[in-house]
Amino acid sequence: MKEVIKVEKLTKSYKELKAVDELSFSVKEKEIFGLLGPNGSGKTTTINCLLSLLNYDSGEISIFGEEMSPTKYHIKEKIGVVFQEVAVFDELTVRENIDYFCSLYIKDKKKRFEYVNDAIELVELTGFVNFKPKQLSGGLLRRLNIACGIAHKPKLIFLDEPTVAVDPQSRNHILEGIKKLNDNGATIIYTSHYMEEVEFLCDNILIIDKGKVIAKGSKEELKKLVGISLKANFEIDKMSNILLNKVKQFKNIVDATYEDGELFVSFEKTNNLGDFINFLHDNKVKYTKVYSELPTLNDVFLELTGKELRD
Amino acid sequence: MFLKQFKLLLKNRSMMFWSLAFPIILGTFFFMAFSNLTETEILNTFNVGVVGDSEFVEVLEEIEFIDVYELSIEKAEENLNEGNIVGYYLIEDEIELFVRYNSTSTTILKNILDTYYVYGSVFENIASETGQFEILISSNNYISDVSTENVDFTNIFFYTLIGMFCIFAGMFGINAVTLSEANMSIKGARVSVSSVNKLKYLLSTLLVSMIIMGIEFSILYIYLSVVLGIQFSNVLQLFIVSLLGCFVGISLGVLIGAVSKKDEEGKNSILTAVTMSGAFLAGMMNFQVKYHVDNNIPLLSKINPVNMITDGLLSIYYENFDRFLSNVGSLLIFSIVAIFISFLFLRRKTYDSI
Repeated sequence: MKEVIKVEKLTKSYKELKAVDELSFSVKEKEIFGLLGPNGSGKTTTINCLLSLLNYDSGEISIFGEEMSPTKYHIKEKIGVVFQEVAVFDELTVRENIDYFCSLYIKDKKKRFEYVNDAIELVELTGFVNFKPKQLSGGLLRRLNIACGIAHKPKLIFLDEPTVAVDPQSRNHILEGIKKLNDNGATIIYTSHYMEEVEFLCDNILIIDKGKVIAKGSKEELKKLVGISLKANFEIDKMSNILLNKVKQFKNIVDATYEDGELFVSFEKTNNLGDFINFLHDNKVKYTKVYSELPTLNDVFLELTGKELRD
Repeated sequence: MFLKQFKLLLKNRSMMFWSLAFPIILGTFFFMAFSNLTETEILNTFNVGVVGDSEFVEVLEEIEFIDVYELSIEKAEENLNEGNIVGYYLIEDEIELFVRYNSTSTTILKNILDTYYVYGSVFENIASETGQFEILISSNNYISDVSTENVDFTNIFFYTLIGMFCIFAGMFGINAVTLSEANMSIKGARVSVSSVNKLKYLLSTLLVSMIIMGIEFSILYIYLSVVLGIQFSNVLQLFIVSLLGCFVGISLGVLIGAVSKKDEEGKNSILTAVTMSGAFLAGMMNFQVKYHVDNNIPLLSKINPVNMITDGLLSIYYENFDRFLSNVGSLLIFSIVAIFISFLFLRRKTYDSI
């Protein structure tokens, strides 16, 4: 697979603050690449540097094999950007907005008409083409924002937190739409602080914090960085400290805490949830509910930085 | 792109309101306010007192419908109180007008004084060389032509209205810059990452803005002249100055848009502040301010865009062709300088922060 983006030692400072610190990564053709990190970690700054919107202190950026610069219009025409903030004209309808932004790339009217229709279909706004942005819900507005950024069928798409403040139904529409774009051959750079979305969408993930790379790889590779294979919690009315200490000493248990009637247990790489349930029965511990889950990217982040992604 | 920009701007209700509907509404109010001024009232001769002596007295004596009485201050007050005179001018270092009530006659007296302040130095020069104050009188249409011609003194308010209209074009300039700069709006960021050349996009938006202002001015002119029946003295010159005025307005907007780091609303506030200050210094609130600025800080007058526009329009009103040409030149120079400075700010391709 060809490399579509190559970034080497990218550094960008705002006065004293290093927003991006020697960031290096590459993105391969047709992959969905996730840039994951908490708010203020440098995701948007990185994207804006890649797009030649921001000056940067040092480093190299190449896109489609060429060094990126603001006047490389032949590269820009292959790029689509969906900014975090909604950028549409209130005075234009849904169709007019998509058509306006598409016209920045596509001059041929007939071709543009087809492209606009395809974008409307992709984001499922068919029933709203004559609506003005102010008549749309937050989720529909986000979908319009995406359509405006991708209507010209770019080969490389940057999506900067496209689902912020979106209802679950619209979020699903958006995520499915992004999958479709990728299926149609587009390479996608997806930034988010929602680990579930990144896990759902991305082939490769770069986790950053304070402008620095914390970890990179596929989600499976990243999860291997965490020393647990399973997390489980049990709803238990009462638990003595003696019993909690016994739990902590049970084989393959990495950590155990009891708070507000819930026992949280993390297992080491060997999964022995069944043995642990038997252990609870043997100790006559009654639990009303039990949940278990695999480790998430949040656990990876927690393991590597000591804080939650959404802190 | 050109047509898309055209459509986009036409659909911007707020800008259309301020740049077209508002001047039309204001013009209608002006018309309604002045419609009770009948020609009979204007034609009646009235008495005015003068306390002190200067060439201004000779100017007054040349005006047909004014009977001038040279009085002491006490006599002037007494006659004013008894209603024998509608007002009196107190001539000291400056000339002040005292009236008891506001009326058409007192408005005319105020207008005469304002005109004298604005054109005083020119007239004094002419007077000292030729001794003919008729030149002054003949350059004041509202005085010499009031009984026979179309132009009357209330028209000056409509020229002021046109001046204000030109300055509103600044909103289009600010809007154009905001739409093309990534550090000013998210839409600007979208334009900046596209394959469209940013400066071409900006110039296309400015050209569309100028065409819209031209169309709007034509509509405003047709409304004022056909619907309200206001007759302007030299339509060609009026169009030239007004369109140049719009160009100045747009250039001023572009300059504010390019230099200021505030958002669009903040920039429009700066535009309002600049134009209001400019209007004050140009004498829109009080002509004596213009007189003082012209005489004491001439550079300020020369770089004040509102002053350039109002001067240009007044030169049409007073049929002073030399002044008209000089103002056309000033308007062009201002626009070119403003656009050049803006270009220096806008030519950058990337930003330190957005």
